[in-house]
Amino acid sequence: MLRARVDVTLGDFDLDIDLNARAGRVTAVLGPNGAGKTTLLRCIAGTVALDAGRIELDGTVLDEPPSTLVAPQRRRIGEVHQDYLLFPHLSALENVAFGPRSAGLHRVAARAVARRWLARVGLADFAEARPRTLSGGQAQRVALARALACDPAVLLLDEPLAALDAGSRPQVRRDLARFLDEYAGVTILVTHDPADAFALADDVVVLERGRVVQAGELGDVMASASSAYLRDFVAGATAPTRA
Amino acid sequence: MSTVLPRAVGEGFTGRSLRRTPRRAPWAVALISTVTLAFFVLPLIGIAGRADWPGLPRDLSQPVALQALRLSLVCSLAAAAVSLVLGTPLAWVLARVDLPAKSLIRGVVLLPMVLPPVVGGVALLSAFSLRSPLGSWLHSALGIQLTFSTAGAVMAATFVAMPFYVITVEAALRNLDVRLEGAAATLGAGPFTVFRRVTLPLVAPSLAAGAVLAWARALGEFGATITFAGNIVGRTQTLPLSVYLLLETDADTAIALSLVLLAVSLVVLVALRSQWLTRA
Repeated sequence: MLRARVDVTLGDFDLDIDLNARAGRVTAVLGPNGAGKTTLLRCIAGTVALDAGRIELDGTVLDEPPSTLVAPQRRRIGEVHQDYLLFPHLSALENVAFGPRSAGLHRVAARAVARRWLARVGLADFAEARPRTLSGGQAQRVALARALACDPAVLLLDEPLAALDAGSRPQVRRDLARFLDEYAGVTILVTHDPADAFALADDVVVLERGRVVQAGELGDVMASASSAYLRDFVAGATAPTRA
Repeated sequence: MSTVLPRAVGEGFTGRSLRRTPRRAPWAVALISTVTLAFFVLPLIGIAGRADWPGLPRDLSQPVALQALRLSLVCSLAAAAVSLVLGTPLAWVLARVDLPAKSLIRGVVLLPMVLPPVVGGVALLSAFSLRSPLGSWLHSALGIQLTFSTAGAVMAATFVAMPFYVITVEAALRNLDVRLEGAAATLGAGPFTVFRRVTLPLVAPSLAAGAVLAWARALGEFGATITFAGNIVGRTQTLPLSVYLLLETDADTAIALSLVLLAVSLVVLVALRSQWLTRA
């Protein structure tokens, strides 16, 4: 269980929200550009410190100013970025082995763990491939394997499908749904694509201008879309051309 | 280095293949360029024409020439090594740390690139000679004398060469996507591991390029060395100093040594250009 009460000001942007996300479920954070979605992820990951509030994961406080601030590398959080951020100088296998090695595993043991994760995402044959030779979908699966190989309690997905072309997106989305089903931790998915939310999310939090405007289970939120942004969103998701 | 961006940029430029014939320079540009090129080539032809090619092995194997060669090799490699060890942290600080008056600090570090080397030598002399407070303390407390010693020659070479290293590495660190380091941190890597396994390998080509540039600059160093370290055969008389002094007494050897410097510099530049500079 991730409980976040986030209050942070960056320049003239102010993010002030509550977010509770349960383990074994995918919580989608929706909202237009500039709503604060990425800032929220950074606060959870620990690369942006809270001004006020509290972030707590399974009873452990990660950030509670002014007393507590846990460094990113100690948070047990896995991230998949929009452009994946694979290490370009390392093979797919070494990318996935990076987390286990940082956790103190010996090189051979870390590679064994990485090999298992690559196999689980269907990329056993690409262990020695450099990131730049991978397709977008393959790179995303390596990034997912890299994040999961650290055994994170929270998985953060930042627009994980946005960098893909429309043709490959449905297949990658189906694969992602399958991998997320098997994952037992908390998943936070940031997206602006209605199809992503419908395919992947259990719960939905809608952000606008740094505030939560709606939150709840996917079906309830979509059924009672109260904000203008969300109504457009639902209309887009149900229109045959977009789905 | 990012996997996505360069590909997209590359695609945007494919339109220029519309041209049917290879690009030619307008005649006026071609003429001026030829004259300019001649300006650089003629001195090379001149020195090659004056060289006593058959006597080259004999000239280069004289003790004074061999000592200068050895000393130049030692001093320039030591200057490059010192730049690597001491310059990397400084480049990191300049690229990453928020400092007050950072442009002033960077200016001071890069000053030796534009300062006349003789002036640099005078400055070093003022700070480290036996008559200066720091120099006399070094001598009395630790028994170190920098002036008129090989250590002084290394120091003079480092003073003029290290800025080339720092500026190269700082640029590389600036161009590095810091989000990669952030990603490494969320994978559980501490700051040192991030530096060793992500930052360092990604900027390694620039470290090498910067070290080679610094080495080449140190190899050619004259003014600061002769001012600060003096001109002692076998101790501080490096190749350029030797060339300058031999020109009066033994022009053939001076030209032979010049050819060595010239060949080394040309090889380094061409290799650098194809290896690193084009990729950067």
